[in-house]
Amino acid sequence: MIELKNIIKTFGEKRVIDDISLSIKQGEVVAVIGPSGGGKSTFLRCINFLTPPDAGSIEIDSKKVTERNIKKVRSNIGMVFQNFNLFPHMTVSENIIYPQIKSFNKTQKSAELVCSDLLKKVGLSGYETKYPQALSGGEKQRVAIARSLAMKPSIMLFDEPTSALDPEMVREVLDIIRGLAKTKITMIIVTHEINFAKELADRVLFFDHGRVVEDLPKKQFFTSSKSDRVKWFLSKVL
Amino acid sequence: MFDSSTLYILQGAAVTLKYTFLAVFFGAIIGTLVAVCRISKIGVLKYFSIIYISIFRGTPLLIQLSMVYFILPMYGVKITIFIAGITAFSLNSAAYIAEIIRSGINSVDKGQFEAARSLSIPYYNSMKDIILPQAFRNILPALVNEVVNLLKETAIISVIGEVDLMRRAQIVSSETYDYFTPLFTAAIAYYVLVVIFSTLAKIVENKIKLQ
Repeated sequence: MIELKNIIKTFGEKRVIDDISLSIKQGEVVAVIGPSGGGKSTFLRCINFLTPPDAGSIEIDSKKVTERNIKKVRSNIGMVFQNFNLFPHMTVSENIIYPQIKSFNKTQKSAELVCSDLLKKVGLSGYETKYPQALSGGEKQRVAIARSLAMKPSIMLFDEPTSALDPEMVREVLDIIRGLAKTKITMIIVTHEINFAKELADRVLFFDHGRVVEDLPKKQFFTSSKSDRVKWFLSKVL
Repeated sequence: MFDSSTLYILQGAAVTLKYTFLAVFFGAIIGTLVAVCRISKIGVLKYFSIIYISIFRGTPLLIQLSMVYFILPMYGVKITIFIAGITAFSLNSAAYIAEIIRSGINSVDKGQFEAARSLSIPYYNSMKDIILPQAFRNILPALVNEVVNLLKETAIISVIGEVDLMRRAQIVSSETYDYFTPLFTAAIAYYVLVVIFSTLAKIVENKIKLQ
């Protein structure tokens, strides 16, 4: 359960997140859509304090997130970035094993087991010794997802996971995310893939000018949103 | 192959290299510490390193060396040419190396820091195993440049009496009244050292890139 209250974030003069309050249930799959610059990514980054909010409070499982306990909180939140952010000087398996050992004090052996298990899950068995630069964008993103999953998080944040991919690689990444949506993991997905949101999400948030313009279960969102802004947006992208 | 005075000058190369490598070695250690202080959020450390870098880059190396060698003995600190040289060169080089390392850290993609943070990797580990190795690749050319500069600048040590390449060339000149040959010999020796070093660095650079 994630509970946000009156979150505000300002960059210079611009209020990027303008007083957002909402709660997300365990296991819920939330799609966040809206125009660029509407605050979607910042919203996501506020949740794990990569961008600490200026005001407001965030509670995860009834515990307030602060700068002090953020390390512990983050160990429960996987994050997948638009640009993958794999460690380029480490092999695929090192990318997945290293954080397990340094952040979670796992043994090399158990970390390796988790690694090969996850690589299988994302369809990349046999890629262990390759370096990121030898992979396609879609493969990189799948490794990045495996790396996050190795933490066994109960929350996954996806920041436009397919935006930097060639069109033919979008599907392989979406397939992985689709598989995850069936599990108990809470997922918040910032995306431009409206059809994907339509298929996968339990709930859709529409962001514009730092505010949640619409917050509806998927069905209502696509069929009976009353907001003109949402209707206009959907008419352009669908 | 060489006559005795040429040989005498060339033997100075060992002296020059000794100063260069020791100064780079200590300079790199001090420089890394200063760089880490420079990006630290702790005010005292940050401002100490800013002032340090500013002073050592803002005054001539010749003055720094002279101060170490001539002023310290006035306050009872006995100091040899060798120690004075290594001290001045290391402290000076550290200021430049600190700036190089800082720019290297800044050149690493912000996403790398964010990925490390989102994976809860401790700061020390992410610095040591993720950020600095990538920074090092980016700054290798600049570091080589600094070593090459230092190698040439060690010629200043001749001013306080060390018999390095430069000083030997001067000695031979004043004995033979021939300035052309000795100075040319020394210049060629410096040049060859720089070329050898740059070539080695290029090989290492390519090797790192291939990984």
